[in-house]
Amino acid sequence: MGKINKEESGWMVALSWLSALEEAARDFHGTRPKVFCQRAYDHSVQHYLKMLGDEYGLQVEKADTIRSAVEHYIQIGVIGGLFQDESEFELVSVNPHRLDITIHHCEYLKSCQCLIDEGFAIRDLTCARIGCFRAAVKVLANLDCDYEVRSFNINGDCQGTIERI
Amino acid sequence: MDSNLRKRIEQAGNPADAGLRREAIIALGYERDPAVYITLLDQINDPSAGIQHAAIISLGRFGNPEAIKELAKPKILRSPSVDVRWAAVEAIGKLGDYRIIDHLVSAVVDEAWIVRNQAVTQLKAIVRDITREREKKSAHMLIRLLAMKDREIVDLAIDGLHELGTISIDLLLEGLKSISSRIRENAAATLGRMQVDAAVPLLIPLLSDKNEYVRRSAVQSLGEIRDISAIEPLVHCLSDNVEKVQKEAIDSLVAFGRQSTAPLLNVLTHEPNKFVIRAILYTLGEIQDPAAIPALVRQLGSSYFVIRNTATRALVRYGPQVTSPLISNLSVNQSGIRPLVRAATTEDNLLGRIRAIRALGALEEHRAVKTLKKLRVSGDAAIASEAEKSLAAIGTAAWRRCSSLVVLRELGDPAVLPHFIRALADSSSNVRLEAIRSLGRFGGKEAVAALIRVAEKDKDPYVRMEAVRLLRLCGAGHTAVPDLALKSLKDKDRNVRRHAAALLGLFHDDRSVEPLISAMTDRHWGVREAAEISLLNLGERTVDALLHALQNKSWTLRFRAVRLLGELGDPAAIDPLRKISVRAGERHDIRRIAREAIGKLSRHSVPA
Repeated sequence: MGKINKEESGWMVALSWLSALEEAARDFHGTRPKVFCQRAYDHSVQHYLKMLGDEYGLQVEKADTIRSAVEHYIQIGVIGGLFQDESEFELVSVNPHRLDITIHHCEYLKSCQCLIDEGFAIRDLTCARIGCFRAAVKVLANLDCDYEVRSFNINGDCQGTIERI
Repeated sequence: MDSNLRKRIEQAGNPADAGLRREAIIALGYERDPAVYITLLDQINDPSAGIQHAAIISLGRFGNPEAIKELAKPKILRSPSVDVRWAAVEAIGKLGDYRIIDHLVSAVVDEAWIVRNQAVTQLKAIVRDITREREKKSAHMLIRLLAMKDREIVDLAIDGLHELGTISIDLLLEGLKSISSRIRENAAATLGRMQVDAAVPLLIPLLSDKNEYVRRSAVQSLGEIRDISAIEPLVHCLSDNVEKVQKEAIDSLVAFGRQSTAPLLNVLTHEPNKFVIRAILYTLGEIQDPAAIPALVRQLGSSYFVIRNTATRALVRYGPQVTSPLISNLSVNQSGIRPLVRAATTEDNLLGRIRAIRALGALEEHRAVKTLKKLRVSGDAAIASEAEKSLAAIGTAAWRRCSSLVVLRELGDPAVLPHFIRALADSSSNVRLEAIRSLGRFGGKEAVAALIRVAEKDKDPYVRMEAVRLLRLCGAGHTAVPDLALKSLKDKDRNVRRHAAALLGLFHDDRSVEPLISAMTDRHWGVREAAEISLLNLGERTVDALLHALQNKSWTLRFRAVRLLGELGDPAAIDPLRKISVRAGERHDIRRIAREAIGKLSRHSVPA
């Protein structure tokens, strides 16, 4: 067997940590891990943006709406190699306080699939991707929001909502 | 030899016209004169691929099996021309018996699809012939086919070996030691299918083969043969790092039924890996041996969520027989604990304190959590360590009660309803949460009354919120629910208020209108939004209050009132909205939404 390349191994390590975090949250908080996970995603986004700044001099523009915050985060994510392309996401503003997001290809799908296999409902998914978008809205637009996964498909698109609280 | 044949033989060797020459060679394939064979053999050495191709086709038609050794030469079977290789494979297939398998096997990996396809087709035909003949020498060939990549050929070979029966067993047992992992894998699969007991001692070592497919096949075969000496090795396969092997081991152990229970329970006592424990619990759930119930119930209190969850699902599969042990699991210590707490905190003797702390843990005494938390940070290392252990015991006991409730809920026996209601007094909010979720599932007068009490009084806002949310699902038609929702609309937690606002929308109760209008000024958008949606559900009865709200100093309330009036369709709102739309000093967005509302109402009021 050949050696695993660095990009693939990087994603594997990231997924292992993410799964570990999701599981640890459930070990201690049972069926309500969301508060813990949200805090972890807050930290994750803030660390990521700080690292992009410290190591690559990248600055993220502040935003004044949920949508623009998510857009700025996606743009910086593409530059930072977190996302392949902006077209991986579709954003629909239902109103200024609610943003529907469709994710065409999510690296974290397997982590969610594990939870679905464990018998969780879609509503119970803590979704690191949309969770990080929510965290980005908080840090970039200073808007406190809630989020929820609306649909999940291991072979296709996932959908969720970020909504102001 | 007649003159026509002589003429064709001459044309076949005449390089002047390639077209005529090819035509002549093809025609020679239908002749039976021995001289033709020599001519055709000469032609396959021609440098032109077209001539070679024609000669090979004709050799196939001519039917002399001696041609195989010429056709199998690398210059033909590895010719740069696809047509030549394809024709050669077809001709070899026509001319030969099982001895040509080697040549066909090499063609199965040809770069050209058409050649590979032809080789596979020929091989399938040969396998069928071999199976019909039922000879041991042919079985050798089938064993060699087990090394093939093509699944269809391998399956045919396995079918053939199976049909040959005892003739093939020795060869298959030898195959288990082959250096080819594919032969080991497929020999194991065949022996399993044939249920050869003698294979068991050779299959067991294959459970640690370095190739995952061989391991999986050995696991599957042992499950098919069902020799009890394989159970323990199969239990160890549950720790295989490859999920497919692990899953196959589960299926095999399930096939053994209750014979697997004891070895599984034995490993469960000392296994630290959560994935292995999960696999064991899953297997026990599938087997449904009552002897495993106590162990499964214990796992409901695991500190790993994954394990608790799997134990829960396994117990659900057992059905009503687990109800009684689970109910006894729900009871908590009711007797006084003051003497123990006092001993844990103030006893002079260190040993006495440790004993008291341990007793609190053993009693799974949630009321002692505060004390134990303090002791955990006390200066004495031994006390702190014991306090930590007792806290862990208390915490996991709460998870056990939670999971027990989930199993009872899934079993759906209404007789256990009083136990859910009793669990609402549990000191753990997670237990109360599962209790109310169960009540929400059952519904009915008693459950709704209990949910109302929780929504009003529980100290955990999340539990109150969940109770209100569940009342939306099961509270319709219960008169006390709107009263509760009106109270909950003033709850200090925003999520409770949001769900209460949504709950009010289900009841067409005039008393809800004013509180919901007030809720549209809530500081949280989610509450305001839920209140607006509920007012919309309440319909025309809200119009007067909304018209009144147009004068409110809160702009967000005016905005939502205007928007709602536009949706509700009462033309009486048109004039007030017109005034708003031109009111001096009014916000621009409210004037705009008022104009839109007037537009909607005007369309509504136009006579048909």
